[in-house]
Amino acid sequence: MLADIGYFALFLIFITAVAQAGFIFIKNEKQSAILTNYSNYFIFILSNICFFSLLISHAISDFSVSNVYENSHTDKPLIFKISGTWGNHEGSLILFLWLLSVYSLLFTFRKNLSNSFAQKVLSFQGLIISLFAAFSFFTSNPFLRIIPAPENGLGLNPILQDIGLAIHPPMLYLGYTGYSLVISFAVAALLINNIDKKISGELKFWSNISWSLLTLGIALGSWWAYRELGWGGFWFWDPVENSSLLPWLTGTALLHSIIVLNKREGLKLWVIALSILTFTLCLAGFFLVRSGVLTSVHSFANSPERGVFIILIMLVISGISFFLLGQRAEKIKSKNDFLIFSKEGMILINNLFIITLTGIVFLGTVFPLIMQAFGEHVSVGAPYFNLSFNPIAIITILIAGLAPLMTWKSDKFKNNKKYFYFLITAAIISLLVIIFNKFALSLNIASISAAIVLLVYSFLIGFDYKKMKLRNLPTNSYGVIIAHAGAAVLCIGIAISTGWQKSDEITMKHGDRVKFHKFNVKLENVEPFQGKNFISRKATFLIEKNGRFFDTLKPETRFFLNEKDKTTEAAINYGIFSNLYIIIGNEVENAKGKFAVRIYYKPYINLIWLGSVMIGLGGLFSIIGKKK
Amino acid sequence: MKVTQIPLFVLLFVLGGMTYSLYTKKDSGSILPQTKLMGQKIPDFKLEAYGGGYMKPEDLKGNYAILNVFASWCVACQMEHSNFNYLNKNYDVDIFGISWRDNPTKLDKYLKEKGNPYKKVGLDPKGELIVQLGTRGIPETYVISPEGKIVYHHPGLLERDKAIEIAEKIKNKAF
Repeated sequence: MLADIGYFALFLIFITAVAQAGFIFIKNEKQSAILTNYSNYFIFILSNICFFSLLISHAISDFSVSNVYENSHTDKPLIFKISGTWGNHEGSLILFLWLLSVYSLLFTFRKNLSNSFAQKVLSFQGLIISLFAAFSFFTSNPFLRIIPAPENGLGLNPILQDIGLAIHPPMLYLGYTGYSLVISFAVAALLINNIDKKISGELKFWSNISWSLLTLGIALGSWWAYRELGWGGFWFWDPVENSSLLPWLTGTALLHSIIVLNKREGLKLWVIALSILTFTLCLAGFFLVRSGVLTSVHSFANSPERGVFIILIMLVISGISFFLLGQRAEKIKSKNDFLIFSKEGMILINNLFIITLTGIVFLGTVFPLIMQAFGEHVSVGAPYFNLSFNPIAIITILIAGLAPLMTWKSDKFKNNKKYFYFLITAAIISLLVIIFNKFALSLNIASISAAIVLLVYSFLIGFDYKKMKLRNLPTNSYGVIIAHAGAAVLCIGIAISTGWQKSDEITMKHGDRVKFHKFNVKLENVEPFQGKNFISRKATFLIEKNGRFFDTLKPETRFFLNEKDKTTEAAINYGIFSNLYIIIGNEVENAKGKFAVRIYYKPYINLIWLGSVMIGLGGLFSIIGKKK
Repeated sequence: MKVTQIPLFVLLFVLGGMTYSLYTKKDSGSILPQTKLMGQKIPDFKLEAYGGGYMKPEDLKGNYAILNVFASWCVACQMEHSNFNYLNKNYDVDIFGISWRDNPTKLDKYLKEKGNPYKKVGLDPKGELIVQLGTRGIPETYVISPEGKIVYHHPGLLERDKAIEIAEKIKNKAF
């Protein structure tokens, strides 16, 4: 019953959203604004019905709904029953739809914009919602019934049964769907041929929120992969990871060029183009994940018809947007009266570097796809990304440090002499370290020194070193300091934890003792263990450091009974300065009682999560803190 | 054309490419050229082998042998790996590996983790042999006859069905 209501609501969302998109053609602006507001509320109510009916069906394990049957099981803990709602293609679309409507509603609560502009934004939102509702309704219906209902479900992909993954997709989607508002702003701006201060202020607000949540979403995914996938890494340049990184990169560029727009009324077209591009890349990511053209750790059931539908969505949304951009570009006048050696100039240069990074990631991600078109299966590995992405990222970091310290419009070298001296000193020191280190890990060393420069520069935003006192800053500038310092911390974390990690693979049996880095590792025992919906093999390792007891670590291999699948649960000692990471593998063939064991020592890896959280919170802080 | 119209055309081009990729993904492996060495003797080589010793053409002779070019960093190789484990378990075939541009410790990890279906794995860090073989991208799989001739070449990911087909053919000496 509940599922049928949800299904009906989904259909109504589609109809209402189509209408809402159409309201833009009503000549009477007042009438059109009122109608749009009502339909917007109605869509919000409907999508709540739709989303929660599916969520409740999952929570109460209603196996007459095929989506629940395919992805859930009565043995599953409640939290994962609920997260199972979006742990599959159909359900995640409903979540996406719901979040789109949440953003559309929140948008109407901010009353800074004219009714006619707001109407245009909401109409385009309506178009986006209608397309996603149609996608869900016609190709990916989550409310399909099975009669008679099966006794029990098939279970959820075991690697998805993790708290990190329960919150990672919603967070990520909060970012993606937020960018729907951003593209709607861009289209509305093109329709009225202008972006004024009020509009750019609102655009900044929404792009900041989306970007911060996307940052946290990506970080959560990475944290999950680190703990769950048992590869001991945090980023694998997997196509799906890349597809979330792409809009993040253009979103980063957008975030900064909006500042120029907001302060100086420059870069208008650039901002509009980036707004369109960012949501387009969100959709492209959707395509890469859902159409099944690429393979990655993120498995979703897929069929070509879904892929075609996403292409259609992109054709309509991005097609209309880019078409309007081409048509209206000449009418939008920017005040681009700045020199390159200025804050705007540096932001623009950095934007170009970030776009280059986007291009590198895009190329690396779709290259296998291009080759596939010629019938070849090739993969682009981490070496490509590390070699091409990292050096440019280092330059980006340095410019990011410099830009906030410069003045608007035009600046002089002599005002910034000290900053450049510092930069050059840092470059010379890191070069010496690299030479001294015989060029080993040179990229890591360069990253660290660039990050230190960024860190110091970030604090100089708030500290006047000439007068030796804190500057009196508008509150939102603290957001910039936090986010930039976070980027530096993240970068240091990545460089140290990858460059100086230690790892070893050994076979051990009960009572074996091995030396690893600073540790003595003893395998105490391996025991079977019964969980709620899995059985596992749990090993107990006794770790000693410098002859003293350090920790007991218990990695597991879990066998999920219903799903007939296994996962490795790494055991991690989360030290503040380093993590010790142990994985227990299979029993070695032909050697009973011997197990494959992998150990990693990861120095400063916590900085990666700390940095990511700082970036995300910094982004949020800069909108919460009102300008003076 | 105005500069600002370019994005629309780029979009349309990309969407076209996406549609194309969607409909070509099924018949992968069919368009790629076969090696020019088809039917000829496998080039002479001497590669250091995984786990010590060397791998030479003589190792492959005597029986039909499957020769799989792979690397631990290659995602498509990881995907097809279980198919070789399957063949190793269920068929009496000799499977040899050539690991291209691989880091020995990573290769070691890869094989320990995913299982080692290979009778011998030759290390080709600079890609000297595989270029001679006519490999264009990895993974690629060859079948070598008992006389040391290349009798079959499958560029790209080897699907389970195809792998079984090859093993059956070897069993029936149908190459």
